[in-house]
Amino acid sequence: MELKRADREDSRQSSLSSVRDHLIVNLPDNFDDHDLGALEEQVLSRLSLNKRIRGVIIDFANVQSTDADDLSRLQNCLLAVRLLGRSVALCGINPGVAAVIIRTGQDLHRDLVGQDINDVLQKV
Amino acid sequence: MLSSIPRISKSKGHGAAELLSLYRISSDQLSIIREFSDEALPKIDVSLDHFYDWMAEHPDLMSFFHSQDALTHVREMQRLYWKRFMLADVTEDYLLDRRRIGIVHARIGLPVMFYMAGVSMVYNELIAMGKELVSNHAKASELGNCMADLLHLDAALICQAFVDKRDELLNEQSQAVMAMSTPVTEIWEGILLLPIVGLVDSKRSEEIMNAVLSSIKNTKAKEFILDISGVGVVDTAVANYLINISKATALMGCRATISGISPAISKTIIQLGIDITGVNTTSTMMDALSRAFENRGLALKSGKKGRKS
Repeated sequence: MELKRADREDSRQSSLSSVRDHLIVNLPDNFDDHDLGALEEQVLSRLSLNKRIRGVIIDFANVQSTDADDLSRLQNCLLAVRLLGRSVALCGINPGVAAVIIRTGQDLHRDLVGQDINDVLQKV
Repeated sequence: MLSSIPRISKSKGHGAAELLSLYRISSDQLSIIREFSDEALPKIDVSLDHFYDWMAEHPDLMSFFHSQDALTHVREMQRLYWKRFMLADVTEDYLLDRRRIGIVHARIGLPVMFYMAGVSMVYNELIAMGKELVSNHAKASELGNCMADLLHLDAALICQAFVDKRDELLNEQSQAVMAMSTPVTEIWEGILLLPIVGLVDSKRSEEIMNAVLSSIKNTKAKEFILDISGVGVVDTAVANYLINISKATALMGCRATISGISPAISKTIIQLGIDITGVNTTSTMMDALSRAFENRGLALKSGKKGRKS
């Protein structure tokens, strides 16, 4: 039982990986305040340790739905990335998520948007 | 007071017991009608003759019967209807039968005005039959009330089914019109085009946004052209809708260009102080297409066949 819960929590965590000089963050579906808190801690820690990372790519491909509160929390997290002098790129946004972002008027401090990771890497 | 009102579920198909309670029709009342049926059933055809004589006097009503065969068929169906009415066995099947009549009326477009005139005619025939067959005035009056209550229930079932069917047909038509009004087309690999014609309101803009974003997801398009030369009025609300559509497409990694901006629309946008920062615009669809091809690394070249000698 405990093991199953741990697995579920692992699968909900945002995974981090690096490609070239960019940090890629895969957001889980229905990410919440707790996920974003952990994400912010991990990302900022990686950025402060590795000065060669030029930007962060947020991959929304797994995100099917979200709301204004979580987007606002994400926006603050991305602002912190920008304050550290790194660029922010978004990719994999689904139609439903795009509509929520527009409706709530969030810009997520993005520098560029791509359809997927490859698209973003080509643009950067 | 409120507690005396029977509880009715919100679903379309109310049950027989629920409806009988709502229309305050008791089993005793149904028995009164049933007892009358033994004597009344043999006289149905006379009453139907009166009904059809009345119909024949109204060409508007007769226009719903395209042939004598159709008229004969409907008369037979009506005979069964009256028979079932007099047997007063109000079951789920009885309700279904009445609802079917409403659906047929909706399909052929029979106005409720005509149908209710028919109901009135039936009522008069039933009352006359009751008076003729029941000598006791009080009993005839009681029978009349029972038949009136059941007739009201029948008419309500038929009208409700009529309205439900019309709503369903309108909804289908509305969806078909909506699908036609947002024809997002992939005119070239990676390039989507949507010409908008008519008025844009919040509902339509939301539907346009959904259609566009889904198309971007399915086609992985990199360019989207929203041509508004056919949009009659561009005010603050419409401009905001269009800008939101443009911003939403950008979030999916697709560049949006709003084409067909006339000098008048451009003046309106400036006068209204609408912020179009970050929105690509062109005056013609041709310019937008040319730009989209350029962005995709494509160039249009005139071939020999296109040249005039």
